[in-house]
Amino acid sequence: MTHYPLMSAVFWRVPILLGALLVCGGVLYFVVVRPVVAAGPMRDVDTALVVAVDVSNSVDDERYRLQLKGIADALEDPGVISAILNGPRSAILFSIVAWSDRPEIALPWMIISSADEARAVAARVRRLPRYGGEFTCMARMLRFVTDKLLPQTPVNALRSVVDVSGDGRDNCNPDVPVASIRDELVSYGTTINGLPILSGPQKGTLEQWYTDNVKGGPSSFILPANGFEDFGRAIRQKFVVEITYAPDLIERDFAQTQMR
Amino acid sequence: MAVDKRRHCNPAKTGSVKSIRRCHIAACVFGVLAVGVSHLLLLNDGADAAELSARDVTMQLHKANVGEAPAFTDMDLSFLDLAGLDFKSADLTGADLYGTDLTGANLIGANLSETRLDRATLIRTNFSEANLEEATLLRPNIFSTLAFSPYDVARFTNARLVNARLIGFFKNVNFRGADLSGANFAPLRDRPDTIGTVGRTQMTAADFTGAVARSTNFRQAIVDFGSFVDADLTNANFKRADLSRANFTGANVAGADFTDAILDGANLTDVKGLETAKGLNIALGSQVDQPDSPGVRTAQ
Repeated sequence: MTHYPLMSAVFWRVPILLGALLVCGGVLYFVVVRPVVAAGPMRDVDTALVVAVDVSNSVDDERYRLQLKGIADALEDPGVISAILNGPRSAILFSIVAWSDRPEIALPWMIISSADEARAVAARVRRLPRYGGEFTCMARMLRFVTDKLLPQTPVNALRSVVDVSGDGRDNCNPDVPVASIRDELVSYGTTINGLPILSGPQKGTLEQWYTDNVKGGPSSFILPANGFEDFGRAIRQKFVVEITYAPDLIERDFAQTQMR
Repeated sequence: MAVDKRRHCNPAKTGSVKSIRRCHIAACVFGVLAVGVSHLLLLNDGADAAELSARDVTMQLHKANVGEAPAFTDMDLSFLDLAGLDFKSADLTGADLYGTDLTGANLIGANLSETRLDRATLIRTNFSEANLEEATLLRPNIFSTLAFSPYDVARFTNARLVNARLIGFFKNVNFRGADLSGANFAPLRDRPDTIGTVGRTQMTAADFTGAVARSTNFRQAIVDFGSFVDADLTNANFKRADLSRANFTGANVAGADFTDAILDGANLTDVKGLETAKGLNIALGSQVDQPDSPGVRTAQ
């Protein structure tokens, strides 16, 4: 029998080389390509949610932490996560504004599109530094949200919602009243919901003041908390209602926004 | 037959009292209408001072793609709250930014030539690498509270301020590497009979390290504790300026005018062009050479 050493070497080496190439390609695909493709470009979301937290003088360290804990716990709540994932785009944009004498972005826009991402954002909320101030400048905060924050959403949102919480009415003597800026914000298609924290001297009148001056836009509502200890329960309930997919509402909002 | 209508209002030609009275009434009505209309126009002009709202500016900046400079050329952006915005090297040539709040705004590399930044709020505003040629910065606000904080100051590092006009409080402001050729820091009016600092540009501890300040007018400016290390101060005007304890190490002062300037404790180590500088002998007065460090000349 004739022996062909060269042929034999090629016969064995080619499949081995091909196999090695396949293995390398597979590793490359799973390690590099797949994660990038899976992440993809930033996708659009259902709701852009701004949580505006009062950090004025009446909010001491404990009350501040109670608010942050309430927001973080709500983000980890299965009901809230389910509401996020059951939307048509299964994602929301989330941001926190700490407001007192002037507003500050405590948490910049973040996309939440999975339970893991919700937990990661919640962890970040718990670690937020202490923001503080003297006055309750709500008009200034709404102006900031209208002019600076909402126009800078990193992706498109079907609807935008601003969650305003606080334990007092505006005491900054603003040039433009809160209700006027609220109306302007609503004219851009945004919903403003109120979470008055019924505590302190304005306990009896704050809910009505929020109804008259803060609440606005499609399906807006007021959900009061009975003191800071009740903030966690209220914000969780509020998130579920705000984020839950409502096709009619979204279509109407979207149409209104597109008209402008 | 052509009728000369002007005759009706000319008593010499008509002689009719009725006609003259009608003319007076018509003139009065016309006058009232004219005043009313102009008043309305003025009111409208005041209400719509800025051409864009802060929201419009934010959206325009946000929509700009990477490498694309948003354009606000010749726009009226006066009194807008533009705090914290990233202008992405925007073109603001000739824009009116009078009284505009630019707190914490990022204007790195922006083109601000011929802009009016008078009375603007410039707390922590970053103008590094920006072009401010022929811009005016008259009495901008650079503090967030009444107490001075060095953290509040604006930054002009490597900015181009050629022929810019600056008056006001620029304490601790960073002008490192900036081109200030032909810039003017002098007060609007000379008040030689007063010793007060009102009206003089206050630049205590301002940093001009490595700056180019050729023919820059520092007349009457207060730059005590300022740093002019390695700065090009050729033909600069320091007449009656307060330069106490300023550091001129390695600076070029050829042709600069120090007439009646205060140089108490100023550090003139390795300064170039001293021989052609004007008024230094008088300004330095009892200057001494420090024997243990050659070339160091410190005024007392």
